[in-house]
Amino acid sequence: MDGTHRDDNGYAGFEKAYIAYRGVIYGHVLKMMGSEADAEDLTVTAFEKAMRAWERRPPEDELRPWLFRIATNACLDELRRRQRIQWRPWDLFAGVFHPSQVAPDSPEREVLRNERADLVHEALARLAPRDRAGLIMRECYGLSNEEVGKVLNLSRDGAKMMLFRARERLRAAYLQLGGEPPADTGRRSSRRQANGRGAFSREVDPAMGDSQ
Amino acid sequence: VTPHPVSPLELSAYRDSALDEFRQQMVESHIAFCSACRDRLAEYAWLGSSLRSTANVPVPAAVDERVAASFEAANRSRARTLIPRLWLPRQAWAAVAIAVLLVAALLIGLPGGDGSFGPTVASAYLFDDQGTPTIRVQFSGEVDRETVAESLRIEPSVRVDISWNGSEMVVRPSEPLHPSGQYTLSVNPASRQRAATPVALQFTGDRPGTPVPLQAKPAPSSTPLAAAVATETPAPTATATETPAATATPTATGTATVTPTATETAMPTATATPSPSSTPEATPTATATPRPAVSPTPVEPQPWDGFGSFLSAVPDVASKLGKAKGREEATDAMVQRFQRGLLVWREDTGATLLLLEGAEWRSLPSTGAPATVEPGDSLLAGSISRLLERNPAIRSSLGIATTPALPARSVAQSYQHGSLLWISPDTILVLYNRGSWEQHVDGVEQPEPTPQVTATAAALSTATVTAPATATPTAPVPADPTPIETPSPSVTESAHRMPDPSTPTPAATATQVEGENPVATATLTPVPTPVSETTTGGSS
Repeated sequence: MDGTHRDDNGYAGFEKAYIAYRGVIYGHVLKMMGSEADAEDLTVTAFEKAMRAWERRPPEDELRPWLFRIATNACLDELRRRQRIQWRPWDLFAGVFHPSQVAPDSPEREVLRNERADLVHEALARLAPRDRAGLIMRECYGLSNEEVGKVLNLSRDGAKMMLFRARERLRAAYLQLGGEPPADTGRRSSRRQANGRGAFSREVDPAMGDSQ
Repeated sequence: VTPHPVSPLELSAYRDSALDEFRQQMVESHIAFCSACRDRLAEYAWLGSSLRSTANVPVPAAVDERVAASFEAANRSRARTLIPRLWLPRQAWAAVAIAVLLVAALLIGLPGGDGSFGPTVASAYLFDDQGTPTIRVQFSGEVDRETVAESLRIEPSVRVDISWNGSEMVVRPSEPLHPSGQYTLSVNPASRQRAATPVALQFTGDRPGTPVPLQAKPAPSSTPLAAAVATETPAPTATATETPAATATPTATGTATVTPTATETAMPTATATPSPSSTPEATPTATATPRPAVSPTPVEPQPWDGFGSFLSAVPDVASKLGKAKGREEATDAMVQRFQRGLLVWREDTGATLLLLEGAEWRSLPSTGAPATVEPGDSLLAGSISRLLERNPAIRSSLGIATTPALPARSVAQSYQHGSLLWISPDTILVLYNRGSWEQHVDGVEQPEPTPQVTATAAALSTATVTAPATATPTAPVPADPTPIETPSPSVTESAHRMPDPSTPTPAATATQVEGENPVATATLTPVPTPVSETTTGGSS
């Protein structure tokens, strides 16, 4: 019990935290569960748990991983309870990104049309829940390795290994689903980059001069 | 199997910047010549960006309601306080139907010539946080939060909540803003005052997360809007009160959809306006027909048809570039705009392009791992920031960030004498090997339509909200930061989007522009070429 956090109503800052993190937590849970109904329930559950534990919350800069931990555990518990590891086909995002919700030129919309991205999400749904959680937190929401480790009770090296395996499994699942690496990423561009004739070959040395 | 100096595990960790410095550099030099590792890394990156592309989903209102209910119940036993209306941000904001929100941030102090980076404002922009517009002011260093918070002024006065995220101040209005209101936000990060640099941001309610800079130059007297913002008096922009319905601010053009009423009245004016008067050459005939013969396919911004159509529309650029040397290559990118330039970060190379108006373009090497840049972050972080801190003149010429880092798609192709870089939704950068660069606006899907028709279509689409143009919000803004001779660069930008065929009356919207703002109207039409010439950057 850290008395310093307490104030008159005991929930000081909760509202702010909720507003700040509701988006990422909901997005995380949605990707974890694959259904909007589940995502709604579990996001609410997670924040209710956070509210009950509010007086024991960590300092501000650790609030985000703390909330991710609560939400992730809620998802893992639920998935364990259902013993549902294999998923129905990932048709979720067609529903989530209803055109009315997405600006016409938003990147989401663009990706929607990209079948390969859909396949990636389908592959994601096939991963073990913990792998999925780790990848989502790292790739989508930018948690550091260390933070991912904290959420999933892993050491630094453990998190490193987990993320590596998760990536490889995601890649394997994606290929197994018939996906292929996008022709436009990867090979050619990186090669060009390497031999210094790419679009970005005019590298500037760190002590670049002032061109003004 | 020959032993490989870098394990796949290390590649993965490299992507996460989780290696020690030595190994990090080791991997970096290894992938320079090992295509297998490079490819694997690129696959990781692509998989990651595919996941990230759906990371931002709207939170259902039901979640807010349920959490709010729990919160209320929990509070009831204690003190019956709180439950501010913030709990239902979506509904609250929807209720006011925010069309256009203007915020002018009067920001004090860019780093001066002395190279000192005292506490100054690094960026300021509107950010859509799940439906609630928040103003984010990022300082370049540590500031005294209380002093800064006390210095915060908003005119007209609005209740706000202030929170801090590191050196970033997040200002969140805690009461509904007036839909057509113009707000001026000023903050003073330090005691020593420097010349105030006004920055205006335009924000459209239906376009979450894409604030558009409405940059006012230091001497914005010529532009009515900028002036209005600066003075906080709506005088020059009398439009607000006079225009029918909600189209309060002149900038409202972008969001004209909100006001269906205007349509009918608008018609006559609209037809009259566009081309004949301003540019006789432009479209004498096409104007007459409300809907030009162009098959106005609502074009989603994608250059997949190649740079060919762009180059055929700008032959001078094509001849300067020479022959294509490679294929078009796509990647994800992050773009952040500043008062006088932009930064573009590419996921595949990890390099960051620095495009400063009037200067040569530069590619800033990424030191360390390809950083994960999240939407909303600033690209002025880490090594880039350190690099620029050593070059205060460049940093200060760039000005204040007027947008956060926004995700975008990017396609690059190299040519004999330079390269082309397309950035979604509609920016084409021409980077010459000699160092100069230009900024064009993509958007002509088919080169067939005659320039005139395109011009008209452009005029229409500028007005219509429905047009897929991201650039739309910028369109009516008279104050363009670029010191260019082009008639009206900003208008041109949006102009090249195709109009949405479903738009009932493009004319209507057009009127709104014109009604009050004959100047703006004039600029609408004169589009010199089918592909715009919005040029920025160094002389070529």
